[in-house]
Amino acid sequence: MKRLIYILSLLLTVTSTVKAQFVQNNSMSKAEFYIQKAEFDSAQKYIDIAANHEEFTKQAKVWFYRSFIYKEQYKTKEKQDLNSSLRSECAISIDKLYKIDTANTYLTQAEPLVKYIASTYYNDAARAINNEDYKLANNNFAHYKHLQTLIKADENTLTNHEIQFKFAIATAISKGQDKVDSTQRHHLINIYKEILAIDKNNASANYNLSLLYYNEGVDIVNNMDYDMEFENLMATQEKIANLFSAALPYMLKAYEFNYRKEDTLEGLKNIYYGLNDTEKSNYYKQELESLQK
Amino acid sequence: MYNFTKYIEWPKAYQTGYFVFGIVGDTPLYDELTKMAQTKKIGNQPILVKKFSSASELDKCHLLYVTKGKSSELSNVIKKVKSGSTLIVTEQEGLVDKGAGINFVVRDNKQKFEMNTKSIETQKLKVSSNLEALAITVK
Repeated sequence: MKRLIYILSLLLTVTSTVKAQFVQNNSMSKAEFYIQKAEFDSAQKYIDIAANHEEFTKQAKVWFYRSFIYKEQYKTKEKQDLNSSLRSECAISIDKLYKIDTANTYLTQAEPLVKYIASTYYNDAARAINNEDYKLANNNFAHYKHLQTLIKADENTLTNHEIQFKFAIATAISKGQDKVDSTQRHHLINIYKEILAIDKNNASANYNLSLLYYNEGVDIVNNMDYDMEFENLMATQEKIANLFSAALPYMLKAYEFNYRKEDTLEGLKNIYYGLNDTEKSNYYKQELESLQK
Repeated sequence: MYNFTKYIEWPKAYQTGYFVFGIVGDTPLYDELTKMAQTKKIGNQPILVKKFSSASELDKCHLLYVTKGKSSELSNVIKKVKSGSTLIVTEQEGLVDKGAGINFVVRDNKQKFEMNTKSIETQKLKVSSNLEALAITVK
């Protein structure tokens, strides 16, 4: 009896192993079959089964197919969705493919697909800015950047795109107005600092960052109350001086690059005046006056 | 300047009528003080702002601000106001040693002030110790 049970259990084990292998192999074949028939719902179903099996998970082919299937699904079903989960799955598959395919078996074939998905992320980053969803915009741009890095896109172009993208967010946040509230100011300061971290010589970012600090100081001055106690007055003065000091190096940098010459001269004149440095304030005032003659 | 008036006591004779801010020389401060005078009082006294181009034109002031450009007139200013109770405020390094009661100076890009209590008391003014504590130097 014991022997019979042993044989039976052995048979069951062998059968289930064989069946599992068959299912996985079959899943991969079926996925390929449905890709050829352009039936991507079924292809998605079978490629997901294959991708979750340890035998296939390290095969570049699975991830190449999976990225292709999800790209097609995205195109058909979620093209208008700025936060498409089908596209996310496609991006995950692309990422895995690039990690696994060290032999470069599928990468050349995959490149147009990667470029396509990257371009959709870039466009949707811009669309998310228009919708004032900056978190999603940043997220989409991060995907775009990552995919472009995978295909070793030109670094200068990518940097320029990143700077343009950040300026676009800054413009959307400020809505083209000089006057911003403290929350907007905080966001803008961070954005301009991010741009300067990429390109410390970006004249526009230097100028705009300086202006944010300077305007914050001016706002405090304009809202000061004559009745303010002396101790508060001193503390406020300290705060204003710190803001003007923060504004100064960025305005000097913008001036160095001849950016909006009259505006930077006006800015330097005012910043130095605010810092009680009459001599330097007068120096830039004179330069401004001779420029305006 | 407005804050200084909170820490200094003028003699009884100066506590009625207008509180006069005098300015010797040109400064944007004149417009600011004039604007402030429309809404503020010193105690119960309304504010009057007067502008003088030289020491010879001076008359009764509670607080007299001598602009940097007119610093050389300080000795004449002191002679002119010595019989009254005028707080003299200047903005030139070293003038606190030459008879100014309060002198603005710039330290680390910030406006600070020095005080000469002897000069202030000579003008029969009483100065609060709290103001002394806020000055960077007290003579």
